[in-house]
Amino acid sequence: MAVDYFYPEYEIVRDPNRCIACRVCERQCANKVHSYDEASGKMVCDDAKCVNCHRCVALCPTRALKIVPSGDTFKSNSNWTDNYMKEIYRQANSGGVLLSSMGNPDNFPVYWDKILINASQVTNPSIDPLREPMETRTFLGKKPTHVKRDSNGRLVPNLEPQLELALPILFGGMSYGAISYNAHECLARAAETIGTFYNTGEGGLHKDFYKYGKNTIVQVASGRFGVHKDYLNAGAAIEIKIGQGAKPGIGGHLPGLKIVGDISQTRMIPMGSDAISPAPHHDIYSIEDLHQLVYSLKEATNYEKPVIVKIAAVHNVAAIASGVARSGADIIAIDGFRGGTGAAPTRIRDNVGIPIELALAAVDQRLREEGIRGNISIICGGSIRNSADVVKAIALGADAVYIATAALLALGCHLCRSCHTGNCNWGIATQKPELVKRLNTDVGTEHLINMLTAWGHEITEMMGGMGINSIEALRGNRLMLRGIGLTDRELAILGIKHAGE
Amino acid sequence: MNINAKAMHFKDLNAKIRECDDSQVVIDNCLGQRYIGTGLNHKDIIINGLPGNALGAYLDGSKIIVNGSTQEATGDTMNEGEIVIYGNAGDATGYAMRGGKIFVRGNSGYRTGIHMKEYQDKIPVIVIGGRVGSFLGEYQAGGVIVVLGIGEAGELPVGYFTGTGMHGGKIFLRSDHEPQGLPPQVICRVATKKDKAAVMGYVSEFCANFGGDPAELLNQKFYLLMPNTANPYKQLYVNN
Amino acid sequence: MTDTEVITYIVDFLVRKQGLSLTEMSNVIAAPFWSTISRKEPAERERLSYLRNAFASLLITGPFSILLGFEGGLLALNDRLKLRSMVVGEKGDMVYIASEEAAIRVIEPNVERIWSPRGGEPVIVTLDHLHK
Repeated sequence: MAVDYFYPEYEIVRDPNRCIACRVCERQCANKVHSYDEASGKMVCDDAKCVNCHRCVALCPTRALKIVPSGDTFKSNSNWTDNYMKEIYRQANSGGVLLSSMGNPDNFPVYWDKILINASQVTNPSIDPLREPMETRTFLGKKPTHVKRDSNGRLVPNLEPQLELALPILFGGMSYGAISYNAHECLARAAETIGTFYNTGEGGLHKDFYKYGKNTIVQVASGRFGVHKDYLNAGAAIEIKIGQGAKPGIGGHLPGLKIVGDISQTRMIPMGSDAISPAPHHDIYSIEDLHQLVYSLKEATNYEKPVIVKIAAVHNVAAIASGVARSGADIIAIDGFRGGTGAAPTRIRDNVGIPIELALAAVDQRLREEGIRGNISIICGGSIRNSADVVKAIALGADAVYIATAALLALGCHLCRSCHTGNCNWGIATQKPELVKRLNTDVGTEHLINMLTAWGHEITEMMGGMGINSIEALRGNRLMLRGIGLTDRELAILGIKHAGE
Repeated sequence: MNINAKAMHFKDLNAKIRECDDSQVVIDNCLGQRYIGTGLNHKDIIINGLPGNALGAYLDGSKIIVNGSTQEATGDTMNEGEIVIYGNAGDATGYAMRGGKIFVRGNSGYRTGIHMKEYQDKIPVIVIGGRVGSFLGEYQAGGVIVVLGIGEAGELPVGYFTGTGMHGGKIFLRSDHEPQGLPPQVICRVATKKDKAAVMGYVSEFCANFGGDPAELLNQKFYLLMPNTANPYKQLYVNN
Repeated sequence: MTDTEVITYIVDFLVRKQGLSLTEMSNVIAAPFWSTISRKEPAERERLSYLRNAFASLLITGPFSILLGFEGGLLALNDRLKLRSMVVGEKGDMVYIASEEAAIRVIEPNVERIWSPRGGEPVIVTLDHLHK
């Protein structure tokens, strides 16, 4: 039975008049799509192997290649879509759990696209950010509950440790193992130049990158890979990873085959040993237990580093955040269900969790109602795609945002969603040396800096339009937002009015 | 240095320990203070009393002696050093420990040695004198756990679900009875002389701390649990 | 409704309305895993299987640590995975139950017997006599 045969999803269109058979496409494709046919002297290709990463298209010197949907379809059915049918065939043949990469691609509402930003007209003059003062500096960390004075009446600075960001944008956690050495280096260097932070993810910190410590957030996940005293003290902050938007409630598993060389050393496990991150931290089964891990980390770092708790956006996120805000954590990171991943079961990625926009609004609202918003800063992530998303997130109540997929795009990712195969032609989600070296770290760093610089300009432009000259005046300022095409319920959860109101 | 910890907050106690220049700190009247010895090295601690949760978390070389019992998460993510407990230990003892040794004279709670792992020359060791709760060595990725079952008259000294998710390391159980219901990914057999010789040193250290004759203990029947490399965990995935 | 209220209703239903004993009620809400039940003696296996099956929807998974007061006594119960800590101490005819031994020792420094009950195994204390 040939039900495992699918007509290729993509078709590689080669213009024979342009192709000079230089064989660049052949060398650039780790999936071995292209080959040279000696007999005819022409390039040929096997479309079935193509993941649509556009590496060959981008590098073809004569623009002879393009990739288009092949157009092959099953009999049209709105219920049994082609995808659902193919998934059954795949499972019927293999007995396997469906595995995917990157964020949920399904057609769920993107609330960012249904929110509009305000601008000033006449009253409260708008500002030209290029020529007038404009501030985006952001501090993350607890705010004091009351001021302290010394015997002379002078204020005593009683702030807990804070993270200072030039822009309210940080790079989200991606482990060395999920992404390459070169990708990590780009993120670290860009964070240093811009004045923000990158995040190790759960794979430990490579010894070469300790020098970027003051711009590094070190992560502690359930597997505790690479976690030791020096690691904890190496970064500017420590993040406890409870969950991830792409796969809430699911642990991680980096197969022993991928635990080689530096990855083994950075994770501090033997070569070839499976790196299993249990679904929960087995010392955290409650907010009280979370409190215990927060404080053991603070004790290990002499109360000098803020502790971040990262959770996935799930149904009871507001109540959970309220608990986190009382756990002693300084910052909460909330990851929405469209967040990326190096590998996740398809069913989990596409069915579990909630959109970040709703989660963020609910959390900010709840913490304000309970009078504990100052206990904790909020970072939100899970598909922040551009500077407008950043502005909307901050107006909905975030102190800052995590970006990760956007950062990978800046490094060359084309969202082919094949990270789990380890054959990333762009040298990002791979550990194969011949692929990793394709990512030039100078160029990659520059691209990240360019993107953040551009976003910075756009953010200040939008702020200027609203007549706001400092980012903290935008935070939680929901009056600057209006919904478009949203129901009353959605507007109520987002805490915004409809356009025209 | 001696610290009287009576009614002292853990922050003050731990700050005193960190700031002290002595190579040895003795804590008297300890009762429930958490995070003692977190990430500590170059300094040994003797605790008279009952330390609180997360004793010796991220421990990095120090030796901690507890003249009493401990609570939950002792030696959490410990990297190096030694913790000697004269009483019992609570749940999740040695969670994710990567190196060093924990000796418990009495019993230990649920999830002892969960996700312990080894790395290069670091082989974490837990030796329990009495019995342990369920989920011993869950997710174990490396290191050695020995449960001596002293005073258990040859009865199995473990609860249910031993070695669930185990994928590395070894568990030794002194028992006349084979544990039942082990996952298929774990093999269990009667330990040979050669197997036992590998843990002689650890059992000797246990006896040096708490008394007893290592040779006599090891002369009795032990079961050895190891991951079954011929039958690894397989969650078959298919690209989608 | 809070978790506490839900559990109170469940206990009331099982104990008062259905007439289960406190141990039987514990065997319902913190039922052993089927793999554990399958290794019990036949009579016990049948009893536990019956309770799990008859009141399947009242199994409470996830972490909990319950102290239940009733006329003339106290019941303490952990979830079946023992995701919460619980310690019981005794001195003379007094019994102490807490999540940390330190808490008991603050109240009674000379506590005589101290132990951690297993997950799903109820500790029942009555005013007349004490049994585990």
